[in-house]
Amino acid sequence: MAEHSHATADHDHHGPAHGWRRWVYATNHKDIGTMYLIFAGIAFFIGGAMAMVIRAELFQPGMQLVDPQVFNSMTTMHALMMIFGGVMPAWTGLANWMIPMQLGAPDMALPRLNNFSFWILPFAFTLLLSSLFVPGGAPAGGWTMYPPLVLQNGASFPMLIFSIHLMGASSILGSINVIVTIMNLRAPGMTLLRMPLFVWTWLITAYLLIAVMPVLAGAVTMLLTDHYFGTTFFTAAGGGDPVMFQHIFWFFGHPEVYILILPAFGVVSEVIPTFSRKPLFGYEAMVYATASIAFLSFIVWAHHMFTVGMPLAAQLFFMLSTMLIAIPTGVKVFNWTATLYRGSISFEPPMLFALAFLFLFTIGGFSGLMLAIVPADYQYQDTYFVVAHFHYVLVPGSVFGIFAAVYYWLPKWSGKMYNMTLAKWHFWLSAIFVNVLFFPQHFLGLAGMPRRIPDYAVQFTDWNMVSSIGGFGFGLAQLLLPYIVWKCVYSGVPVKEKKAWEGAHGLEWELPSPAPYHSWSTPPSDALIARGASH
Amino acid sequence: MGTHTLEAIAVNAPEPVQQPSPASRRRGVIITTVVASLIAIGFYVGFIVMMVLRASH
Repeated sequence: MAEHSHATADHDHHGPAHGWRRWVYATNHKDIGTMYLIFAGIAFFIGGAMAMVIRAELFQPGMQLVDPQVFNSMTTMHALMMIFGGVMPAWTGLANWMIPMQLGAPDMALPRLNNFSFWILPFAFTLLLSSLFVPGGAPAGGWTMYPPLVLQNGASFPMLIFSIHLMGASSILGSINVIVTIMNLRAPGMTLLRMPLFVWTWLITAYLLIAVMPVLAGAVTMLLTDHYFGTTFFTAAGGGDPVMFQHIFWFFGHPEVYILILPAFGVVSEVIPTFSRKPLFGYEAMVYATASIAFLSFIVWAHHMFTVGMPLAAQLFFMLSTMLIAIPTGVKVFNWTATLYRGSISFEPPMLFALAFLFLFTIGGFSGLMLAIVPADYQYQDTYFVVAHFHYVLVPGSVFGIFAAVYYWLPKWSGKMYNMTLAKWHFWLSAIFVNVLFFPQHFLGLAGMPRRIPDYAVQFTDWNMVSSIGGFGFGLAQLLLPYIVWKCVYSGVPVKEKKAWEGAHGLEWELPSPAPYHSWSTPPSDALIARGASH
Repeated sequence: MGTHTLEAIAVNAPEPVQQPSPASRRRGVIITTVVASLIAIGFYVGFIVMMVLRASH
C-alpha cells in the first residue's frame, strides 16, 4: 500500500511540459485556467476597444467617425466579445483554477475534455472577428440576433451562427466538466454543504449552462435553416413567427445573465468574510438563495419583450415572477451586509472591488425592478435606461467580481504579492469612471434616447459627453490590470505564508504558495476540511 | 488524470475517512457525464422538435 502510494505520488509530482506543448496539450487545470484567463483578458480589450469606438462616435451629435453600419456592428460585436469572450471564459478560467483546489481534488475530472473546451474558443472568436473583413461587414443586427433583421446580414451571417455554435459547445463541455468534478472528485469529508460558495455558485451556473446553451444553439440552427434551407420557423411570409425567436432567445438570454453573475456572488461570498474576519452570515441561506435565483431565471424571460404584444395575464405573470427574484437577491445582499456588521474590516483591493460590487450591483438590481413593471417598461423599452441597467449589472457586477477574484487569488497562484498601491489606483479609477460612464445613461434613457443609434438629438449631448469621458477613463484605467499582474508574476514580493490574507479560510489556503503544479494528490484531512469550511 | 487520479485519491486518503473506491468514483464520473450530456442534448433536440411540431400545425 505504501509503495503504491509513493509510486502514485512520484508520478503526480512531475512538472509541466516545456515550450508550446505545455499549452497546446495542456490537461492541468491550472494551465488551462491560466489560458482561459489570458484569453478572457484579450477579449476584454478587443471588446473594450469596440466600446471606445461607440463612445467616441456618441461623444457629440452627428456622424463623426464611423458609418451607421460599422456603428451597429460595433455594438453587436462588443456584446458578443464581452459576454462570450470576456466574462464567460474568465469565470471558466477561475473555475478551472479554484474548484479542484477548493474541493481537495487533484484536477478536473475530465482533463482532455477541458483542453478541448478551451481550444475551441480561439477558433470561434477568430471566425467571429474575421467577419469584420467580409463583404457586408460584421453582424450588425444586435447580439440578440432577432429575425428578420439578422437574416439581412451578408456573408457574416453563417460565420456568426457557426461561431455561436462553437462557443456554445465550449461552454457546455466546460460545464459538464465542472458538474462531474464537483459531484465526484470532492475530497472525502467535503460534503455538499461544506463546499465554498464559489464552488456552489459554479455548480448551479453549470446546470444553467447545460440547460440553456443548447436552446440558443437550437434557435440559431433554426435561423440557419430559415436562411439557407427554405424553412420558415421565424419568417412570417411562410407562416412562421419572428416573435417566437424572441421567446426562445430570452429563454436562453435571461438565465445567461445569471450565468454571468452567479460566480461573482460566489467570489464576493469568499472575499467579504475574509476581509471582515468573520464567517459568512447565513451560508445555507446563500446556497438556497442562489438555487432559487437560478430556478426563477427560467420563468421570467418575457420581461425582455413586454412591448411585442402579449396577453395581460402573461404580462402580469412575467412581471410578478421577475419581482420575485428580488427576494433571494435581497437575502444575499442582507447576508453580505450582516457579514460586514461588526467585522474587523480592512480594505485591500479584493475587498474594495467586493464592496463596490455590493453597492453598484444593487443599483443595477433596483433599475431591473423598475424595468420589470410593465407599464413603466413601455417607457423604458429600447432606451439608454436599459443600457445603463444591464451595464450596472455586468460591469460593476460581473467584471468587478472577476477583478475581486483575480486580486484575491493572484498571490496564491503566483506565490507573490502584487503592488497594493497600483491595485488600489485600479480600483478607484474603475469605481469612479464606471459611474461617470453609466449613471448618466439612466438620465438619457428616461429622457427618451433610444439605444443602438449612432446619432442623436442635440438635447442628449451633455450627458453623452459625460458618459464618453467616463468610458475613456474606464478604458484607460483597465490598462493597469495586465501591468499589475505582469509585475506581480515577474517581480512581486514572495508570499511566504500559505495564507496571503490573514482572515482567509478554505482548502486553497492550506496549500503552499505558489500552489504546486499538482495540488491535492494526497487528499486533505477531515480536520483540514472542517477548518476551511468554518462558515 | 482519469484512472490515475482516482487511484491517487483512494491510495493517499488519510485514515479513517470513509471514501468511495476508485471503481465507484469512475462509475460516478461516467454516470454524471452521461446525465449532464443528456440534459444538454435533450434541451437542444427538444426545442427544435417543439418548433418543428409547432410549424407543422
